[in-house]
Amino acid sequence: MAKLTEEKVTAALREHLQPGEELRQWAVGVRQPSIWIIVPLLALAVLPGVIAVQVLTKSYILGLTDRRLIVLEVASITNAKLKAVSEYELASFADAPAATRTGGLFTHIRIDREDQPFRAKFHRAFAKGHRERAMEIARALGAPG
Amino acid sequence: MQGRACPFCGGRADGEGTCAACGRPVTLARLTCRACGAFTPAREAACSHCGARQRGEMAYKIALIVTMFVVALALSVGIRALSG
Repeated sequence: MAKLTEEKVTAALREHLQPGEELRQWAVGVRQPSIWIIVPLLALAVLPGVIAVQVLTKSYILGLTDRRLIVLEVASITNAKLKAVSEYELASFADAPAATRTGGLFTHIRIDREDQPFRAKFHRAFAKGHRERAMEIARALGAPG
Repeated sequence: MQGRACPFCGGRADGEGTCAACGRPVTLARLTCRACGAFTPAREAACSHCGARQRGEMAYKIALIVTMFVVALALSVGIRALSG
């Protein structure tokens, strides 16, 4: 199955924009279970372990607008069927910036909020320019304005 | 934030971002109800539109994973018993 295209991602995000709100950037990422769960599952049995990791992985579409960060939890990175929506006012990151880091493959974004915690990683090979997209979102959440 | 449409009831938000009609914050995290497809607050146990109970996915996922490992173990034991 083909992964989500830019058109599908932006169409999914546009449904959640307010009047006059401008979508600036988007990224598609996943949240996998902890490595302390993955390793024992794979050690127990490889094929069921791989399936279990897939089942426990959550997929997200992030949309950065001029006002908010919109987080869409979707069925998978190939299927934009919406499961949940959460949002964060950009101004709220001035007091509590997100924890972000970029490695060779992934850009990690973690938002530590008691009411709406969020953590996901964004692979550079998801789409052309995806690393730059994710890094731009990470920069905006780390130091808004 | 004022005047923004509430994702749950369609009402309008006041200056604090609370819906004047249903009293919920309009920025509340929301789930898509599996029964009716409408947005319902993630914190609430039942859909605010149709009243369907919102079940977490983890219960069926854990059951599925445990079943897969039990089947894999049974297959492994069965194949060893047959071959040895």
